[in-house]
Formats: sequence, structure tokens, C-alpha cells
Amino acid sequence: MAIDDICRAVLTYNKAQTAALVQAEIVKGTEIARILTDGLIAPLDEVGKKFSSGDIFVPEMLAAAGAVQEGLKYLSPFLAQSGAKKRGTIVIGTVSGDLHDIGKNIVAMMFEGAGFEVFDLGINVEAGRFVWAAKEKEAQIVALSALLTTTMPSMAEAVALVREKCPGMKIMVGGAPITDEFARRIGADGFSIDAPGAVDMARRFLGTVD
Amino acid sequence: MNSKERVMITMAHEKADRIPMNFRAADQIVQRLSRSLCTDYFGLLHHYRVDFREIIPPYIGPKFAKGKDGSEMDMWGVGRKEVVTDRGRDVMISISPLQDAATPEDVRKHAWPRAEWFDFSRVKQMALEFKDYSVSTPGIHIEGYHGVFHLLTYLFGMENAMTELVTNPETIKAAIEEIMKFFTAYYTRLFEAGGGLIDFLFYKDDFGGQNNLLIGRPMFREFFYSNISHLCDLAQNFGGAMILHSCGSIMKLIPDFIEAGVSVLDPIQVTASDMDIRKLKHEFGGRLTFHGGIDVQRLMPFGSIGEIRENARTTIEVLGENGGYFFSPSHRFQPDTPLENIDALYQTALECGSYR
Repeated sequence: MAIDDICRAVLTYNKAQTAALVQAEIVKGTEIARILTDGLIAPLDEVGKKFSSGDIFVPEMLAAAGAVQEGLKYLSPFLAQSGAKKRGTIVIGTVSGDLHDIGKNIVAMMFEGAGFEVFDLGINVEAGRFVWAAKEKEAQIVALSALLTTTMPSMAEAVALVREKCPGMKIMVGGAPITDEFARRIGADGFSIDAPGAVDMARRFLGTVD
Repeated sequence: MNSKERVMITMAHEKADRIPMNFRAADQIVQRLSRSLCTDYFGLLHHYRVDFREIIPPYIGPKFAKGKDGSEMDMWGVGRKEVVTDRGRDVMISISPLQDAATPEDVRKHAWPRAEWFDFSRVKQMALEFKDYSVSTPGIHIEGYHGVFHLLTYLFGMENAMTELVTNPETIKAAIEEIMKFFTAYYTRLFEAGGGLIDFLFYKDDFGGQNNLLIGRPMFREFFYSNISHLCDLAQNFGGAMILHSCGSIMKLIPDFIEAGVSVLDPIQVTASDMDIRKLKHEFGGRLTFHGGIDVQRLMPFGSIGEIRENARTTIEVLGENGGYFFSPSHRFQPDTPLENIDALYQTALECGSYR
């Protein structure tokens, strides 16, 4: 079955093949939502599980997410027209003072691979820009990253400002020095130790657990 | 007993007069500490009884042109930009010259650095000035001087390097070969010039993240094991030993490090998963010397003086049992670390680190 072939292409980290198979399915007239859910999201979920259990590592997860992104490139234009239910919008960035982005980028790729609309504000993002972007993009979730202990206070400030200016916004935080306890203390709604955990949390927040 | 003797005895898993000490900190901390103690950098090292020194051969190669976007370039062709933020300054990689390299040929065409770009003529003299200390190649104190994996992420870009390890291994291997040509020539000339006075090849690469390895063990064996093993042999041929630096949760690679010939493991990031000092000492203490172990992610910036003293005492007790431990923070102290915390740490270490 062709959808299974897309899964296999993602699971063997084959970017070109993933793109070609997605295009072939679109041409064949396969339901767009199904290509997304069964062909791209499902295998990336599997990859996420293997990452969280320590069976695969950062390179494999990035390679799989890269293949999914390549597929999404061709699928996205049709998604808007297909009337498929939007899964939610997430604004993400590394907090003010912090220039580290590998962790944030992996989380952003996994969000995209899970079908969320993602606005990545990059690194060294001031608190006010999270607020601006969350309103502008009508996001439901703001996701904040920090690697340095010196920038953890920026994370606290950003959480406080988003909380004040965007009532009802779900805020999630992550990064090497961040703990559950710190996340609670600064008033975030959630903390995840890894990217697949962040995807699960976003799904719970948005009530889109498949 | 001088520093060199102290370090060598400790590495032989015997008790010297006290635990050897090391120190590393961000520039801002070095400046503030030096000012508070009315001394300079070497005065600071002396104040904390630091037993290690490094030799840095000056760069005399071609001048680096500025990158198109104003980036500062290094000898690998990697560009960096300094960014001033509201939390201080930091540097980010802005140009990764092999970002678009798709084949081994693309990689070979890159302008790779050469050992001749360094002046080794004064190395012996520098080593003689530090003859009472334990002397290392550059990196044990100063920033930079990264290993193969680090360099791949700079040269190819972080995400791209990681992905290419999976999808384009031949191109990555070509880059590793070129990097190793430089390392082999550079370290051979450095050790030769040192005339037996250089004790350590300090090799800095990070294979671990906070929760687990960054790359799996099979990938480590395929791409990185032989480089480390080769550089361990190189150091040993000159009577030296390797200090391997790898941050993160790396418990699962330690047997490979030992097999490759690593003598000292740095920095023992105790806040990473599975990096329990008791377990480390019990399982590997007979075959490895540990360097580091003092947490800079929570303890040093946020801990109380009491917690810091307690932690220094426990770490020395556990890792320092029967030698085999060099006292050091597990990373540079960051600018948010109160100076009194650093002072309390070293005061305690010097008190408890005595074997006499």
C-alpha cells in the first residue's frame, strides 16, 4: 500500500523518496488528510517514541523529521484547500539573551511533523515578541527554550508577560537546565524533557490526541 | 611535591599530598575574581592552587578575511558573530562552509588548515616555564580547540551535520579524514616541540546531552572511536595521555573511551542522566581518572554556600578515594555564579582535598 511506502521512506530517513511518494499520492487523488496523518505524522510519532525510549538518537530523529518536512513542502499547499481540521498554531523561540537553538529547532521540526502550524521566532527573542507573535498568528501555544542558567530569568519574564497579555494561552518550556519544578515556579503550563514529549503535551493542550 | 608530581601520582591512582586542582571560568568571572583578589589571571590560578597549565602555540597562518556578513572567520573557514544581548555577550556560528557539501569531493576542495600555520618554535621554552606544572595542549582552560564531532557541526551546520551522519556518511567521513590530517600533524609537532614536557592532550568533544547520548553507540564506533584512539596513541607515543572532555550523559560510551586509550575523563556532568559519581567511581575508577564533577547547572549559580561546601566534600570523598580525581568545575563558571560561591568551593576543596 502506497501510504505504507511513505512511512517506510520516513523511517529509513529517505527525504527524496518521501517527497516523491507524497507527490504521487497527491496526483493519485488520495485524501490529503490521510497522507498527512498516516503517511507523515504516524511514522514520525514512531520515531519520537524510539527517541524517548533511547533506541534512536538526535541524528536519526532529525533525519526523519527532515524527510517529513520535505513531504510537507508538497502537501502543505493542498492542506489549506482540503478543509482538513487545523491542528493548532504554536509560536516557539529561544528566550532573550540565549543564542542556542538546536533543541528548539528539533522541537519545532517535531511540531511541524505532527501537523501543527509553527512560527519559529529564532534565538534571543524578547518577551514582547512572543506576545506580539502569539496575537498576530492567533497561536494557542507559546513554547520557550533556554540552554543557559544565565537566561533562565528571561524565561521567567517571558512567561509572566505572555501570561499577562495573552490570557488563556498555554505556555510550555524546555531546555537543558530547565526542570519541572522551575517550570511550575515560573508559572508555565508544562515542561518536557524532550521533543516527542513536547509534541504529546501540545496535543493534550489542544485536545487533539489522535 | 610540585604540581606535575601531584598530578602524575594521582593519575597512577595513588594518594599525593592533596587532590590536584583545576579552574575554569567565563571571561567575566575571571575579570571579576582577578579584580577582587587584586591579581591577574596567573595570580588567580596560583590563588586557587591550580596544578594545570596549557601551552598555546601562536597562530602565524594566513590572515582571515571577514565574512561577507561581517562574521569573524576562523582557520576552518567557520564564521562567527558576536551578539550583544540583555544578558551579556555570546557568540554564534554564522557561516558553515560545508553546509552545501554533498560529496566527498566537495569536502576535499575546502581550504583545510595546516599545522604550518602555527609557530611551534617557542613551545619548549613555554613548557620549561611551566615545568613544575602539569602541562596540557590548548583547551583545558581556554575556549575553542574542539574535536572532530564539534567541528563537523560547525563546518556543516548543527542540524545538517547530524542529518548527514545518517544520510550522507561518506561525505562526513571525508571531512573527518581532513580534520584528522590536521590534528595528527598539529599534535605531533606540538608534542615533538614540547620535548617530553607536555603531559596531556586535551581533547574536547561532546557526545552526550542532558538526558542521553547525542548519538548512538554504533554511530560513535563508526565515526569517532578511531579518531580518539589514534590521538590517544599519538599522545602516548610522546609519553603523554589523553584527557577526553565530553559533556552530558555518556555512561554508555565510557567502556569505549577506555578501550580507545583515554586516561582522564572530563567534565563529569552530574546533572545529566545516569552520571552518578558513586557508580562512575565504582565501575570505572580503577581504569580512569576523573576531572570535574562540580555542577555548574544548578549548584554553583543557585546553591547555598552550605550546599556547595557539602557537595565539594562529597565529590572529593567519592571520586578522590585512592587518587584518580582532579578537582574542577564541570564547565566554565558562568557569569551568574556569585564569587563567594567560587571562593567557598575552593576553600572547601583545599581543606578536604588533603590526603595528609
